[in-house]
Parts: sequence; structure tokens; C-alpha cells
Amino acid sequence: MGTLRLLLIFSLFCGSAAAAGLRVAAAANLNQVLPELITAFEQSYPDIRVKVSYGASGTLSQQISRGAPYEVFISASPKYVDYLENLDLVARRQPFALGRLVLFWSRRLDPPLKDVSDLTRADVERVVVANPEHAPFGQAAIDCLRHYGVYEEVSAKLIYAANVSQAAQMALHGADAALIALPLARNPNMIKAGNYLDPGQECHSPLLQEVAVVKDTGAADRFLDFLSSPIAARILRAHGYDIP
Amino acid sequence: MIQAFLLSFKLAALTALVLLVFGVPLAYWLAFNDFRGRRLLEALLLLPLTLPPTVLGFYLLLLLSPDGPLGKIGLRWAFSFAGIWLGSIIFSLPFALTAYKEAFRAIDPEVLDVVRTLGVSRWKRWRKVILPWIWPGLLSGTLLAFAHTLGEFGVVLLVGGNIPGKTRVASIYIFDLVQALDFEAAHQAAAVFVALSFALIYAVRSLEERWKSRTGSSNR
Repeated sequence: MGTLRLLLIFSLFCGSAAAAGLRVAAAANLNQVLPELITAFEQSYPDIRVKVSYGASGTLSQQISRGAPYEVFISASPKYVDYLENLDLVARRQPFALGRLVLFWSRRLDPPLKDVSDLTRADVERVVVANPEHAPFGQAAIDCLRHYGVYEEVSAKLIYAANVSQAAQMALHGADAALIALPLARNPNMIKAGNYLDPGQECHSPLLQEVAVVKDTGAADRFLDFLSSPIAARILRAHGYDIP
Repeated sequence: MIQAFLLSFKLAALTALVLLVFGVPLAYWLAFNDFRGRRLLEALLLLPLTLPPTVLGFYLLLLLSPDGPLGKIGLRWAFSFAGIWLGSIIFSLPFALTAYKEAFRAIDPEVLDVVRTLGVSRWKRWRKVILPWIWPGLLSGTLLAFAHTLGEFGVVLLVGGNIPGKTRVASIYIFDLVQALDFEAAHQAAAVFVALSFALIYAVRSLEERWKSRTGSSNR
């Protein structure tokens, strides 16, 4: 009986620990920049606590359509905001940044890669991309391979990650190369393990980062305004995003 | 990190609590009654042992989403704590149930018969004979369910998403850190997990030993 009572008391104690905040579902490519953006936002609005979950844009939009309790959705492509808008789940939307796709490769490769076509080299055995079915950066990666006419040859080497951040992690842990977002390639762990090049952003359709209010609250609106502010633009640029 | 571990503890404690309250009577019933369809029912209850977490998570998500059959009657538990609680109960049920049943089966029916013929009341039989006999088995089953829930990942990720403070339990927190390339924090949390899991499993094993030495004399 004593154990039971203890468990009960414990569970009550835990229940009270959860505080309300602004819940944000964000595209995985933003996980290097968003913590800094949130810190800046919370400095301007100390009464708002932002809680963020990362995932592939397609996965997150699916979760929101099934009732996941987010107030703000940040997608790496307008496509998934469109999807929610068609379901009448979007109160307000706004593009705020352009992402960049880069080709990352491991230091093991010698000589280093010079361009996307080098992915056909025999010593490049595994190439990671995010799953194009639900990750915009994955779709951009496939577009880019097609643009350079190497998709057919490289497709047998492709490994699909759940989202672009996992693609970066898999590039660190075993793969030879990856097509990922620029801020991830600049992560200190990635810099230690390899190098990256710009494949030319014309090889894929623009990776327009768009933010949407999916549950109307004052805090969500303020967060949207903040993402288009000069302060946010400065932070985004410093992390390798372009401002549209 | 603390928030994620506290959430894991809350989920594991509430899961173990439900399994203790409902699992023990169910195990008692299954251990001492034979009826048509008992094997069928047992197979159904043990199904989560072999079912991939993705299958269980997928079905729960379909059932609990706002336009799912359960969601329509008000149980909109997709991406909520209630949802991952339900998932964890189903997923850990076989572990608790098997341990509870073993505990009941170890009771010597002859001893119970003797006690019964002596005219000892049902309440007193439970309090003085059955519970002192089986409590290490019940506790080890409950601890096992607790530990198993702490280690749960797939069901929670599918049903709960990854929402800080609500469904981001410790296992998912580590998954998140690895994906965010934050290996230092991932190492710390993972080390805490190893120590915690070891302590729990050690406790379960110690209880099992104690329980075996207690029931070993019954030659069953």
C-alpha cells in the first residue's frame, strides 16, 4: 500500500510541473538556428516560453492534421502549409527565409569531391538524403541529382533519412556523402568529420521556409512577426539562410 | 534533460500503477480458471511481445486521432500524454502479466485448501497467506513494467509525436539530441539511462531470487 501511495503522490507532483507555452513544430533544417532565434524572441517577450519539436515538414503537417497541439508550424516548403490550409487549419502564413542545400562529404574520401557528378565515383558507396516523400530538403536533393543527370547512377547508393537533420547525423556515422541543409553542414561535429560544397542553388526549386499560425493565439502572432523582423533576419543570415 | 526524465518517470509510474491494479486480478483469474477461449485471450494479451511498436503505434494513432473511431467519441488522445499512457500500458502488459501469473502459479493449492478448510476468511487468506507469498513476484512484475516503459520508444514516438513536456520522454529526448548533432548532451542523458536501467533490472533480478528461494520448497 505504501508503494502505491508513493506512486500516486509522485504522479501528482509530476503533473504540476508542466507549464503552458508556445508550442512550435519546426522543419528539421532549422534546428541549428531556431534555438538562437527563440532566445532572442524570449528576451523581447519574457512571459512567453517557446517549446519546439523538430521533424520533417511532411511528418509534422500530418501530425497537425491529426490533432497535434501545436500553435505554430514552420515548414521548409510552402507545399505543406498549403496542405494544412486546404484543411482549414491555417490562420495566417508568411515566408521568412530561403534555405540552402549543400553537398557534404566525409574526410575519408580522397581526393575530395569537386561537384555533384563526383557522387558517381566508385569510392562513394553511400549517399544520404532526407526522405523526399515528406522532407523538402530530400526533394531538393533528388531534384539536384536529376539536374546534373546523375540520379539514375547514384540512386542505388541512396540512403533515406527521416528528415534532413537525421541525414546529417547519418553522414557522420558511416555514410560517405549527404545532400543536406547548409547550417547542418556547418555544425562543429560536421566540420570535424568532413567538408561541403555549394552545388548551385539553381539545381532545385527554392527552399522557401514558411511559418504558419495553426492555432490562433497572441503569442503565435508575435512569433510570426518576430521571424520577419530585422533581428531575426540577422540571425538567419549568420546561419546561412537568405532572406526573401 | 530533467524534464524529459521526469516525464519518463511519470509515464512509467502511471503505467506500472494501472498494470498493478488491473493486471493482478486478471493474472489471478487466468492462473486459476480454465474456460473456453482462454488460450485465445492469452495470445491476444501477449501479442505486444512480438508486435513491432510501429504497428501498435500506427493503429493507436488511427484510433485516437480526432476523426478516428475513438477520437470521435471524445478520446482525442493522439499526440497527448493520455495517448502514450494507453500505448505504454498495452505495450508493457505482457511483461507484467507473465510475472504476475508466475507468482500465482507458484502458490501450492494444497496449502490453500488446508487454510480454506480451517475456515479462514477470504480477506484473511489473502492478507496472511497469498500476499506474503507472492508479493516479490508482484513487485518484480511491476518494476519490470516500469523499466520497460522507461525504455519504450517506437510507440511513444508514433502516438505522442515529440512534444516537450507532454510526450518528449527521455528516450525520445536522446533521439532528438542525436539528430540535432548535440552529441555531448546525448552522451550525458544516455549515461544516466544506462545507470538507471541497470539499477532497475538489478532490483528485479534480486526480487526474483528472493521469490524463488521462498517458493522453491513447494516443488513446483
